[in-house]
Amino acid sequence: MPWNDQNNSPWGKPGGTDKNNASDSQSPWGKPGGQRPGGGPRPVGPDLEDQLKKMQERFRGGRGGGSGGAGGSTGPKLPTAYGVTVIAVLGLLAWASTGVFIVDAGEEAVIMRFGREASVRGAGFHVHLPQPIESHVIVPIESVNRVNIGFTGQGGGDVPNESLMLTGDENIVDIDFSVLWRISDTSNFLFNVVDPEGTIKAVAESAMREVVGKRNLEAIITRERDLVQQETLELIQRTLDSYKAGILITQVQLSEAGPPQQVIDAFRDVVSAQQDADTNRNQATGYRNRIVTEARGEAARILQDAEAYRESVVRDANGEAERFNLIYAQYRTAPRVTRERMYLETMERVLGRSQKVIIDGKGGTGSGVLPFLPLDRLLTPPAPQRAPAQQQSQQQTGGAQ
Amino acid sequence: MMKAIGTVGAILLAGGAFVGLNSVYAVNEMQQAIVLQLGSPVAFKNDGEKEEAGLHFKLPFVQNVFYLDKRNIGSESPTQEIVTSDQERLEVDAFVRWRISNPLVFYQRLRSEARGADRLATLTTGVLRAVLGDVSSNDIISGQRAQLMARLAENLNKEADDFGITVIDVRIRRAELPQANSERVFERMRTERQQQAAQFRAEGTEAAERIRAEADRQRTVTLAEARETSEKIRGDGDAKRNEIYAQAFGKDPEFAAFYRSMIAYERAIGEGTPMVMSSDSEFFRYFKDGTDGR
Repeated sequence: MPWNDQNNSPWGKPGGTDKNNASDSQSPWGKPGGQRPGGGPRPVGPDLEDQLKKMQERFRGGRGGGSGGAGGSTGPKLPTAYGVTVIAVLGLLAWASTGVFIVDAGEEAVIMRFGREASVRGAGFHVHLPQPIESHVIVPIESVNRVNIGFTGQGGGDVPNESLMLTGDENIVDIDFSVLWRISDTSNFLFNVVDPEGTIKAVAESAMREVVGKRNLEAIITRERDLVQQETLELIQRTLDSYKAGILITQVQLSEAGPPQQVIDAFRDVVSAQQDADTNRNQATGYRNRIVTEARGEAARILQDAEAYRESVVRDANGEAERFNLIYAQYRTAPRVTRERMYLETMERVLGRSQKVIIDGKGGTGSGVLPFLPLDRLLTPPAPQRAPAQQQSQQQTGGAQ
Repeated sequence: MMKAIGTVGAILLAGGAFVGLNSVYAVNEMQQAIVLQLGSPVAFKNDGEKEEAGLHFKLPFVQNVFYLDKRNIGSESPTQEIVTSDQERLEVDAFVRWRISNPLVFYQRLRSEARGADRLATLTTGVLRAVLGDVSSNDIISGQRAQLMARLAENLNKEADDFGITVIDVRIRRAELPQANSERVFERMRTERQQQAAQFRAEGTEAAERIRAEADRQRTVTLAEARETSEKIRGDGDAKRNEIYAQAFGKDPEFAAFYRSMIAYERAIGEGTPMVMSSDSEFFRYFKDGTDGR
């Protein structure tokens, strides 16, 4: 049968295609735990020959059991006309059943007549002409699929070969991203491109490198992440559209965009340098707050001291002036007596507590003999010696007037 | 007799079915077909010019059908090191999207898609070297990537045309530095960051130093201002005191001097101060003689 030995046909060799798709967990129809664990386009009915063989066996077995020992001793007989009819009907039914299929929600079926696309069906119960006249392929058009680049999905292992790329300023950036896609045009998806999944991955990788190559490292890892995602998405979509791949890219997710492992310490050190600088600044500000406030306190003390000095000096002066005024008022009533009395009282107190040497004035000056004064013995403290003597003489002159 | 007729009928039926099956063939949407009559091509089906997927007829036995893929096929070129015009080494990895546009030529020269992919890989290697060896690494990495890819596709298309292949697209997948050069880039990135970190730290120190210096200045100024005001206040106090004294003592300067002197003596001459006095002094006026000495 020429339509059974066609190569590259996903439905021509259901077993082979199934295995391929089942091993690829990223495949849109091969998701583990999905509705169709077998994977692959839904096998198009059981093999006709198998079916017939089974039917025949069942028929024979049933008849042998029914006739009991009679048939058993003579061995298998030729089927009767009745038997032939039953076989034929059952065979026809089995054949017809290869044209019956169910499409789940979110799926679409393409029916092909002798390999040519005949019609597209949505969810529900459908019938087409039996194999091999018509066949169908079911594709999950609603489900969103994911292709990871730069890392492996479950384990999260990094793939440096895919994730390290050169930036526009000749730095190297480590980028991990995922591409989310779904089928937008079933027949284009099925018939136009070999290995759609692999195509998406290759195109996405190429697009990301192109986009990253136009930018500087700093921008990629900080403020232009969204732009990178957006531009990559557009570039992938444009490329796939030019292939008429029937694929819609719904999202490009940058899961990581940072400096590569080899230099990450240096990048972290920059951040900690910023922290250090802030710390330094904060400490200095703390110092300023303390010092300046303390200085204000000290200034307040100085001013208060000055105020206190002024107050005390003025008060003292006032007091003294008042005392003088009182004494003066008294003095005016009897100046001479008061003055004499004040002088004597003062002298009495002053001389009463001093060490005195009294020299006879007349003898001392008139005889021409110099009295011997042992000053070194008299003046153990040298400083106060002169002043009192002078004051004394001044007082004498003052008194004489 | 009946049995003989039945047997002949069965044989005829089987033969007819065999011939019938051998005179039809199906082409699906992903394929194109070449019909060969004793080795020479007589028909092409679904070869891109006409939508001809489906059932077709042929002469049984003398014609047979050869199928080729009709779809957009991807093939990778092996990673290769390219020396760019500015003597940089780049490891370039590209992939080619292509399809069979001339099934007859393709069939004659290459026969299978696998061999087509092999040949294309060889061609791609040559074209990559020719095109990328002519431009600077910078153009490959950033500036001119899209244009370069277009040029690659164009050049490759010319060469692939001989094999019945149309190149739809050539894309540079990776263009990266070889390992040794990457190390140099990492080293440079590291030193750049170290420089930046040093800058940040120094700026922090600078700012801190400024803040401290300013704080010290502020303290000094605050204290100096306080002292200035303080001196004024003290001066004011002293002035007031002088004024008060002047007012009080001004009434009788002579008595005031006497009065003040008395206070001064009392304060200045302390306990046990040695004094040498003449007996002629005013204090001793009555010391020698009880009558009026004058």
